[in-house]
Amino acid sequence: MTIPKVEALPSVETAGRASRALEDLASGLMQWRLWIALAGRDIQRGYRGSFFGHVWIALSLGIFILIVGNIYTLVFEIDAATYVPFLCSGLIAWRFMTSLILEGGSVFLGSGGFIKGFAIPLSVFLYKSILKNVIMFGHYLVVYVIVAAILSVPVNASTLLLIPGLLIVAFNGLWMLALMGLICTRFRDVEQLVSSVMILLFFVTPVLWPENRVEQMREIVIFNPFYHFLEILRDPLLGQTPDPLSWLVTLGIAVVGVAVTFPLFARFRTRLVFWI
Amino acid sequence: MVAVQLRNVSLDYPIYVLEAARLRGNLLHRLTFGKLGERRPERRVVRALLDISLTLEAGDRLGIIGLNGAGKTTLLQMIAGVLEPTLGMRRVEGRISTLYNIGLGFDPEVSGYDNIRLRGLFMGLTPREIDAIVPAIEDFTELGEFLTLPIRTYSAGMQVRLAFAIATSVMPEILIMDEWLGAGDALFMAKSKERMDEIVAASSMLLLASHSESLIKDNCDKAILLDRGRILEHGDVESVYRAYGRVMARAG
Repeated sequence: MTIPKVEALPSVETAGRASRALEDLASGLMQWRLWIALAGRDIQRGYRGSFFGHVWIALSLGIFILIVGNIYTLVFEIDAATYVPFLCSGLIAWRFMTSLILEGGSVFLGSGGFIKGFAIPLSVFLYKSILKNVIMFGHYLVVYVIVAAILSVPVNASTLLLIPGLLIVAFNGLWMLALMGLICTRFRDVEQLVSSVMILLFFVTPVLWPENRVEQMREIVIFNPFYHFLEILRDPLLGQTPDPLSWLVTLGIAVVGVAVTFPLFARFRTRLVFWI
Repeated sequence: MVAVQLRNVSLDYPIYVLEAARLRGNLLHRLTFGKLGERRPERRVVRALLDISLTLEAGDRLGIIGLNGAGKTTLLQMIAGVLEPTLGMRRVEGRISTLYNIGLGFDPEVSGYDNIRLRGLFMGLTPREIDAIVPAIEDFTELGEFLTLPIRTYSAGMQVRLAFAIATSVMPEILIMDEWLGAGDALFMAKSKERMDEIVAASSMLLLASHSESLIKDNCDKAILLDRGRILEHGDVESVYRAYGRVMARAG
């Protein structure tokens, strides 16, 4: 069979796109039962039939912290009570933040059968991914609490700042997932590109290495936006108050991110089904 | 009020597989100053539906027939709200339940019961409503203990039973079935015919796309013939099948 050459029809009426996209976001939120079920299913999927099940999420992190924590304590010649909580808090903050970006590659593609099968708001899958990552973070947090208890990390009023920190990251996750979801579904090369860049960023951002070990390093890392996302989660975990600059930067990124992503989401929301 | 109204609906299906090759060609062309690659400025689309106008009311049972690639699935997906028309007006009122070719909307890795729950949530049911339909599904499918096994262990016929039972469990106002046929045994076919009659009798609507002439003739009271995205013939099942015969003669 040949594919007849036809000229594409002029695009649909553009009026009301924004309100339909808002409706998508709102009605998706209303279907909380669905995205909770889908998130739970995603968490269990990787561990089906295994003895420890989703406890592996915490176990694998624990093993990593134990080994890498010990080695780097020696390498950096820092006391373990300082370095291990620093490493653990940084790692869980990093994973939470970056998996919201990396998951863009699968947020829609992984649910292709559902998207093609049901007239369902796309935002359902965004909320699902955010919830899934919050659940993952909960598992990580168990490991961190154990580490913090053993090494007596201070718990104080600043610890409570973790909650607004998580809310800011999760809200940023909404636009990051939507943007990356649209781009990665349409251009399949992007996911590969992003995951390579993320590995680079992991070493560039002070997750493993304390930035105060090097003179004037802080003046450089503040230009790394990922650093600020890291700080609003890590500092509360360590019982410290984050620099207000980090709140400002992450909130500013949220505003810019939504401003960029929303029009794209509104425009390509109904087109996405053809890309899967 | 159950109703489906389409006015001059056209739908372009963009072909992105070709699009990737086009972008690559254009990029190579530009990077090598026109020495390599090819400049292909046009985007490829398939005109999957062209100028479709259709009005259906409660009680209508429409059969949709046509050769492979005629636009049957696209038409059903567009009516179900999965695909947006590129041009034209679509108005659909009524609770829709869809039954596409097996697999779409199912998770093969989880049990029959889990799939009932998941599917129920996609249909907008509450956990209590889902619990309420489970006995009827157990009863209708006669799958017994198999419902506790992952559905990848089911035979095609068993999957059809489950899919049909779920899709029809909450008396849909508009039942959309695509290529739904075949794998069920004669016993199940008789049973499902009965269920479809009940649904249509409850002043609902049936849209059925199939290559099985007997399935269409048994279940539908009118039909449309699609050919390359157009409605070629619209009327009672017999006359539409006569037109289909002419299309097949021309294509063969």
